[in-house]
Amino acid sequence: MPPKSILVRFLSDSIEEELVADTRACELLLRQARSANLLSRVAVLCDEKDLTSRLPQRMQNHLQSARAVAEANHRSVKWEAKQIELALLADDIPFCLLKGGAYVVGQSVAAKGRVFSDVDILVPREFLEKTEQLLIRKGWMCTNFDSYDQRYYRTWMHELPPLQHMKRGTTLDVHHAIIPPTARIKSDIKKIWENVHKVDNYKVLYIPDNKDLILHSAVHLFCDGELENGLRDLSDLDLLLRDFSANDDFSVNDDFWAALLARSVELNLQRPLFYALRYTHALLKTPVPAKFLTVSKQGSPGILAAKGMDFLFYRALAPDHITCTDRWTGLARWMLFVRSHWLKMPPLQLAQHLARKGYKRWKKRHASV
Amino acid sequence: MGSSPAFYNSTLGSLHSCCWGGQCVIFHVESGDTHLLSEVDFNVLQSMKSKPMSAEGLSLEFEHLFGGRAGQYISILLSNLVALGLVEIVNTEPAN
Amino acid sequence: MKLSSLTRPELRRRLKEEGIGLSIGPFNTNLSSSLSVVADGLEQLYGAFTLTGDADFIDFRISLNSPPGLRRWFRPQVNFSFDGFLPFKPLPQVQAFAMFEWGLNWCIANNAHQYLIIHAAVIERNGVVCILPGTPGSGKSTLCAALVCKGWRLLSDEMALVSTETGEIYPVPRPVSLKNQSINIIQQYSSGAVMGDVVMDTAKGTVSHMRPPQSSVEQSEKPGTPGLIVFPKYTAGAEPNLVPLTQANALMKVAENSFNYSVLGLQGFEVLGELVSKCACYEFSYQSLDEAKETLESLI
Repeated sequence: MPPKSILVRFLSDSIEEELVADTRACELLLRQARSANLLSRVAVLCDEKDLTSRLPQRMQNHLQSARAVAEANHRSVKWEAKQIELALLADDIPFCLLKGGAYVVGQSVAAKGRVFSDVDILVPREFLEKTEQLLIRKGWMCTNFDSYDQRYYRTWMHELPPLQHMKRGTTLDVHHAIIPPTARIKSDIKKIWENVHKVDNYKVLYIPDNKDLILHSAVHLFCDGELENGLRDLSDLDLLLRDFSANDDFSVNDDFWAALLARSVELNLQRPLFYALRYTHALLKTPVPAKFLTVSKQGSPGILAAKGMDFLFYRALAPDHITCTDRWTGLARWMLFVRSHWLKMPPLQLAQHLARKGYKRWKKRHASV
Repeated sequence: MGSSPAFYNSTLGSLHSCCWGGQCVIFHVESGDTHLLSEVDFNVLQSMKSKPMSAEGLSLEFEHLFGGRAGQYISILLSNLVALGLVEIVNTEPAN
Repeated sequence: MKLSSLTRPELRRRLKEEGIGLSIGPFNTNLSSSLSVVADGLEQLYGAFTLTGDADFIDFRISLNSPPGLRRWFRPQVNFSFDGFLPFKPLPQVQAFAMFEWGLNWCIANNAHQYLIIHAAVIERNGVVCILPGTPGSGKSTLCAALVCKGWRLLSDEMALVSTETGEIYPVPRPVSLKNQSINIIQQYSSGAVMGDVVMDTAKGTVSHMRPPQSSVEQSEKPGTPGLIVFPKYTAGAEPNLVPLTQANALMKVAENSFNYSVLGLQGFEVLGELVSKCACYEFSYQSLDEAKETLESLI
């Protein structure tokens, strides 16, 4: 394993005294957290550890700024959820918030300092077209008119092309599944709908069950290939796992782990859960009981393949910052990018898609904001 | 059902205001929207906060300011406030 | 120790290797670049600025360098990197120093939400801070440059940093950005104005930067109390015309001209409410810089 970055050590250990004593270490944490989109979370965690007021004033300023960004983000997603409901109430279409939106509106621990640029929702497949019409009627518009992209999203993937609200400028991704229909892993989305929880004070808004929030996050991180926010997503998993697995008296809740593993079997998501438990435990010291780590190995791709994935993920999950890369990091990210597409689509489509999109994607990462 | 009166309610989350000499700027926390209203319009908005009011009820309350034209003024104001998202229509009788 | 104390070879060496750390208002900025146009700009315009110490906490690490590959030599370009992140597309290399200025504005506007940040020039005289909010074309930078040449303190030509705690305005005095005819206008208006290189064909037209007065740079750590908000509008042939704005109208207009009003939410609204409460607010059309100076000085 490459040496752990100061950001990973902050998330997994208690390094408060080191940060208070060493201005350079503090600044390094700032830089890595910024790159990893985790500065707001670091700000909230510093507050929880009563550390903020002991840090250099300049660091406190950056944390205050980052806190404001996350709070603005959270206000915005709550308002968006309300507006989406107003649109879909016309036909009583149930919708589920996913990922960051679900954490914030569902008031989960993973909402701490969570920032995100899009709102993701899930609707039943049979209501997808109607949903799009109702949203367009209320001011959302399609941002992408490239016919290839339209086909890519609608036919092969599990979502509509991104919608943008013409007045508020917010982006909305409407999914009908959590894995593309063309993917090699098959998972029945109806099972997720069977276990959703209605959100108080809303009429048609739902949040996935805790275990499903974890499994969706795991699928998104380990199969979707969007590793720009890899460490942030890993940190979400760590917070969710710690919170859901602890009893009120802080003893370990074995029932939770057993139920999580059983649910992964039911949803056919043992592989992503295997990776989720393996890497949260190895990198962020998430207290996964040894016996459940062992059981989760049923989802392993095999010892050699797992070692190969370790090589790739230990690098790709590091903050995307010059102080956290070695000469293999670029290659590791690229290989995982290719792998994610391999998992999402059949070989012929993959070849065509990569030829068209691979180059554009890297350019996009560094284009104007 | 069809002809029951519409009531207007402005308890859509929290409104904060700054008023100076006849003008008020209000901030709606949940949406982050900021609006400029006359102080009179702001007072009309405030009167819907604790309980829903009908257009007729509001016209009566503010008649002293508008005389015979209160009904017309209130009607236009209410539709503007609904369009701004500051007021919602609730088609129910308020509890007595 | 100030930047001007470095010899030219030493400045260039540091700029290329460990970077030059500068204390710019509340922000310690480390800039690295191997491009001579950047070194020239620093020498001409940042001489009065204090260098950061080796152990100082750096707020923004910026580098301006050529992209790898052919564009190093063929129609050479420059990339603005904020600690490894490239927020903009590359520009022609000759614009590298201007790109530093624009890029640093972007870094502050996006990462300093401990302030409410208004898009405005900010100047001070007799203890009263005057905020000049303005969209491009309002002439605020030209007006700001002119007043600063005639004794007003420069706090910023681009952004008013309003403390969310105290309501005071924090200075970020930096080279004043001037465009097209404004460059000549200011050179004619004041013989003391020192300009950096003139760069043509940028997205904003022809651009140059005026060196900030040394006394303004030396007061970079001294915040000021706002007392005046004036929306300038350069109008050819106009007599100076000062129209009072109500506080409510001023609040709406300042909010529209704020970079991060929506990020700060209720706090932003309260800070702006306090700000306009304690300021006299005006819209001001003018043509002559001398008349504008006279009008604004009469308000202090």
